Amino acid sequence: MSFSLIYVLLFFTGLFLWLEGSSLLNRRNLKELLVVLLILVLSFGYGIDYATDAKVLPDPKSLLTVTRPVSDFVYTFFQVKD
Amino acid sequence: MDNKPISAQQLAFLIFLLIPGTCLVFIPGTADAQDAWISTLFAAGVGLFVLYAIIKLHDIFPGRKITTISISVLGKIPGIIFNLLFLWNMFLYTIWLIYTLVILLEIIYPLLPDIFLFSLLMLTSIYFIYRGLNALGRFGELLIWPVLLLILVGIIVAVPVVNFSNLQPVLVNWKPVVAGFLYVSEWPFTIVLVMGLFLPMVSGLSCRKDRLKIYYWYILGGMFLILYTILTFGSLGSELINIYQFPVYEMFRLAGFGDFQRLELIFFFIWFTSGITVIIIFYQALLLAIQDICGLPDYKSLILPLGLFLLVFTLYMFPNTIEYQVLAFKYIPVYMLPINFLYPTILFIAAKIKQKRLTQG
Repeated sequence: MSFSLIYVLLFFTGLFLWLEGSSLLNRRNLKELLVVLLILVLSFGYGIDYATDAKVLPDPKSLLTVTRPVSDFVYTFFQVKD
Repeated sequence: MDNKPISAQQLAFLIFLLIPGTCLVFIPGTADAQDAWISTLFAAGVGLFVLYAIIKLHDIFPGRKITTISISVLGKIPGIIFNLLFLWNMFLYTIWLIYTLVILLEIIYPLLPDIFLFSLLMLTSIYFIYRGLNALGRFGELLIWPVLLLILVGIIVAVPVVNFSNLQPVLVNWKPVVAGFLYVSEWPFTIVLVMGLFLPMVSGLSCRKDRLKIYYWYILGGMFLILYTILTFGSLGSELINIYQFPVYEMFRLAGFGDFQRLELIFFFIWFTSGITVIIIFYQALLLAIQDICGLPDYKSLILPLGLFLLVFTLYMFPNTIEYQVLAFKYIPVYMLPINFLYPTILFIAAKIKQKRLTQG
């Protein structure tokens, strides 16, 4: 499964360049270009990290750990079944 | 008639589809065991308030998205912080929905690789987004009657297997009722907040009759959930519901007429179509929010990169079903409910204060 994610990354990027590439460059909107590049770089970075099982990038799930003590408290206090 | 891509009626249908589309084969109030329907009943009120707040906000700031209103009423930095939390919230919902629909599809296509199903789902959503908001509105309009018909068929089919003693005793302990109320408020009711991004593109909102339709269809969605909660708990009982991954699916597996079995496959139509509608709604909302936060003239160039981003992060955030269960049903709700509820509430109060000051001035 992981290996084919590389093909998916390439397919989506190819499709994007074919459909939007020229119009994006013609518009010369730097902000738009930067946002698109940021999204693509993050997708490629995390996609390759997942496909190769490298786990070198920070895990976005860690952002949710902030509320974990609250969740645990809610589960204990309100007697929620796991 | 103003030239806007969605009519108030289409928005009302989409709001209705949000409820079966996000619940799919789950019963959100399981924390409350057999009293889940009571929690669902009360939680529907929270969603109704959120819906009222976003519509009123749109009245005060007509033609503006909730993310723009946030900056106007709260100021630039607090507004951006709230918007980013809202964006993160919608992102989590979207990837959760994508993963849920894929694990559901794996029941029918067990031999297909996950990545293929993920890609197929994303490409379908991307196609819809490219067709524009009007296509989404029309899709909702087209879907509503078959979905309603199947919901009705579902009720008729499930009633014979319901044992109402499974719904007793009622209200033994208040704590699970409160927990159920909190969890059901978060999912699926306060999810209607996402419509705050679509309101500027809706025509006919000034008409009272059309506006009431939005509330009516939301209430109908709430009634659907209460009824399905009663039927599922009645047919399976709270012990079995806790064991099964997809309780509603299991309920329909039990149901049938004589030799006419495997009825659950018919209901895949509701689950898949309403599920993909909600994914498209959230995908579109994410595009609108990013466009607004980044101040971009158009979101068209973001469609494909964001689709890829969602696909990759769904795989990354939910590498297996166990992590999905823990994150989605235990940890994410506690993070999401305060945002879903407080974001429109704070904006509504701040907008009212601002409006009062302007009137006095």
